[in-house]
Amino acid sequence: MTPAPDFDNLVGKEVPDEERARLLRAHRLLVEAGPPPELSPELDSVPWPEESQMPLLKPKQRRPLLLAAAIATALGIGFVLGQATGPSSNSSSMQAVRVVKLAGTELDSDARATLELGKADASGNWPMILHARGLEQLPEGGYYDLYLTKGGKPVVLCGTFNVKGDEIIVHFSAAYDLSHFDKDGWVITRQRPQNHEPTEVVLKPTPV
Amino acid sequence: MPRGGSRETTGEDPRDERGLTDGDLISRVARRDANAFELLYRRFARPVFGLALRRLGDRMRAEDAVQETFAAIWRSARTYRPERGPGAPWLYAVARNAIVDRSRNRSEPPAEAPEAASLEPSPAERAEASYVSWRVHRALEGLSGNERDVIELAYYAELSQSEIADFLGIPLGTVKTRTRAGLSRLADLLEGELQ
Repeated sequence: MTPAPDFDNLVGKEVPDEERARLLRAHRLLVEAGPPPELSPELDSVPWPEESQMPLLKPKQRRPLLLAAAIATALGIGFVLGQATGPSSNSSSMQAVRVVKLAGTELDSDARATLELGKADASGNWPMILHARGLEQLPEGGYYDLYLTKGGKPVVLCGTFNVKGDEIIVHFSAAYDLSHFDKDGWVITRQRPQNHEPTEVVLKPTPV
Repeated sequence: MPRGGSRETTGEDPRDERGLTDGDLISRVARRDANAFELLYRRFARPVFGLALRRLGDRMRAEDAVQETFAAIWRSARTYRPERGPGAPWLYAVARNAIVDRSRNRSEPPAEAPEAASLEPSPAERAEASYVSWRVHRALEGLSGNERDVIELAYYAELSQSEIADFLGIPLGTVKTRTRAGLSRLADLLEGELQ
């Protein structure tokens, strides 16, 4: 059990009795539960369903026969998925090689996102998965853009998306040589109706 | 799957801001919706990992158990019946089974029986504690990022409210507001456990 922070200090003393009792029970459960564990990078990266059939890639501890069986299962499921969802799912397997965290700017300070960048394929396409939370839903005709930046300015478009609800996961692919752009230079811009210029940056990389 | 059935609960399946319950996501996974699978993973990876760590006491095998749990979810989501209860207990049963399977694979010899009565928690007590942690960690994933940050810093990083304000670069009043809002939201999400 972790040391408990002072409940009165956390919530103040001006809380009505009934609400106070409710918050106190939540407080006690938080203390009783203890901290959730930190995920390893392997677990923090969301596996695609077919990847979840395979063990984590730590070969020294894996039995070859088990791995072969898992891969066979994964290939079977991947084939079925491919048949069901068309050619776009062929690029769906991804192991993140870089993760860029994005924080909301003053235009949308509650928003935050993580961009997972996979290994480029033989043709030079970089798969990316964007996990964003807290972006506001834009009015009809609005949308968000993912841009690569150079000198801090959005210069090339990697894709567009819409948001409905608090959380969204979107898959992109960039066909650019990333060395030509800022390191970790991705931003999300907000395109309101009638505005199609990347002038409103709502998410930008967090300073390292 | 899952063997052993679901844990009984009295609570409703809580909805997120987009109106999706855990049960909704499991049903979508049953229809092979990969986005739903990802959302479910985001919600439950830490609770599953925490449960596995408690039971197995080893990060490597706990990570394997997480992988096996989500593989089982992908395989067996069709067996989930929304009318029989919320999604989280079903997932708990799937995770528990994956963890039990993992623990059975241990090749260590059985421990000697203790000579005196143990003061350690009984298996039932440990199971109850595990379930509370599971529910609390799942509920934490249901908070907004801002609320979760201040709650975790206060409870698990042992920072004072002023230290949290400095750390996050936000006013002290905002920390207090977010902490209280986060606790209130947690109380909503944990309503079943609070009875």
